Amino acid sequence: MKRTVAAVLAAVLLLIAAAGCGGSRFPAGSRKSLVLATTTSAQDSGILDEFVKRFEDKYPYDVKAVAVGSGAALFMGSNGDADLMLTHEPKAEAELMAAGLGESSDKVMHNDFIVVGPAKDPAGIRGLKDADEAFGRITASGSSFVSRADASGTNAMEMSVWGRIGTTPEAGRYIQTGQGMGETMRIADEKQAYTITDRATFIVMNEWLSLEKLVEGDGRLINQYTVTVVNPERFSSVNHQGAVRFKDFLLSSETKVLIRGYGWGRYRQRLFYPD
Amino acid sequence: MARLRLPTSLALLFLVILAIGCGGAGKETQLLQSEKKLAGMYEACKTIKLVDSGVTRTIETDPLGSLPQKEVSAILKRSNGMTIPGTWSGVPLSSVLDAQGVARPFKELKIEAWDGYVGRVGYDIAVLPDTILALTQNKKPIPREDGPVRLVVASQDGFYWVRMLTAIEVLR
Repeated sequence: MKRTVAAVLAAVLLLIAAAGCGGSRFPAGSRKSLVLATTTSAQDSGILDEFVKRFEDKYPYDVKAVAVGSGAALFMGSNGDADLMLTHEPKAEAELMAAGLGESSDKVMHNDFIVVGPAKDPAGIRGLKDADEAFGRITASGSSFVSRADASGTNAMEMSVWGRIGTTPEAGRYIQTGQGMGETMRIADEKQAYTITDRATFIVMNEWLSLEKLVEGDGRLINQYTVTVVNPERFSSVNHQGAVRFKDFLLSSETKVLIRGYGWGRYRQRLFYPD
Repeated sequence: MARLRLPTSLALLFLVILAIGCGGAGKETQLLQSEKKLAGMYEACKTIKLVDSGVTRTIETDPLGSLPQKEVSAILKRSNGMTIPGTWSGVPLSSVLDAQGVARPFKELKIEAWDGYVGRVGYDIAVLPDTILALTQNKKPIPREDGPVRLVVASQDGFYWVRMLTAIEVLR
């Protein structure tokens, strides 16, 4: 009898362990491929994996999440090489919709961009709520600024601030990495320079860096994530049904709960706010 | 040491399986997820998959350096309006395709990067002499984070300049 109980217990435990390994409840042949082009900040926060896992648990799809800059993600969609996009570059998203390449565009969640820099803060921007004023002081003080200089939503936001104040730091003080947020923040940390980042990526990297959050709360620095479904009338090969399901899943009350609580357990801070 | 009872042993085994997880998170590496996914990229991109009419071939990038090189002075235009002037050197894409026996004309090339990014280059642009598989940028090897070769399409903006090039599909 004891042996039987032990065998049943072992089987149950192994099943539980196997279930934890991410196997879908849908047989491999029944799952359709779905391409989601998105941004690295969604991936780096970990919330993208959570979205995909929950969606695949619920629906018979294999989601290929391509995390690139928002500009690149939208470009993929504009060629029909993605079924839907989750991005944070409002101007480019609006252009794609205006060109008739997107069928729908919906706000999913948001946080904000913040300006980070060295603890000594040579430009004296700590506590400012005006990004334009902060960027102006960084330039005027001769401090260095590290820019992603890539086709990302973060870089687009940075460029909009420089555009408003009509200047950038002098050559040599403006370091263009052409790389993602992680490497850009590491370089800023090493050079004790300033940079702009989305809040979620900074929270994730905070314990690795000496950079400090110096400027936050500028209403113009909202970081809005939007889901765009590619227009099937323009690209007949896209998985339109899957894209609509994923969009509906992102906008569901269940996903709003996930977004609201995401990261709190680990960071004791909210990374995103549902829309 | 006292022998563990069977249920106790099973419970311990279960905890070990859970701790190891599915592939092992391992030691915290201080890399973001998007950075972790680039592990092995450079070596993998030394072999580019070429698919044409259902036939798969490979382009090895190491020997490209011994082929006749074409130097292109161009401006890399990013979508944010930023421009990066420079000189890129490498092998014309048309020469590589010819050597692989890709028949002309074709409709377009679907170019895939290691991170899943996909760009498309039409036939007329693909065969331009200043569309090259670049091995150098400003006389230095292509930055390692861009892979061993980068597609340079001098006549087009940055979205066509696919980095971490890993596959080319010929669409007819």
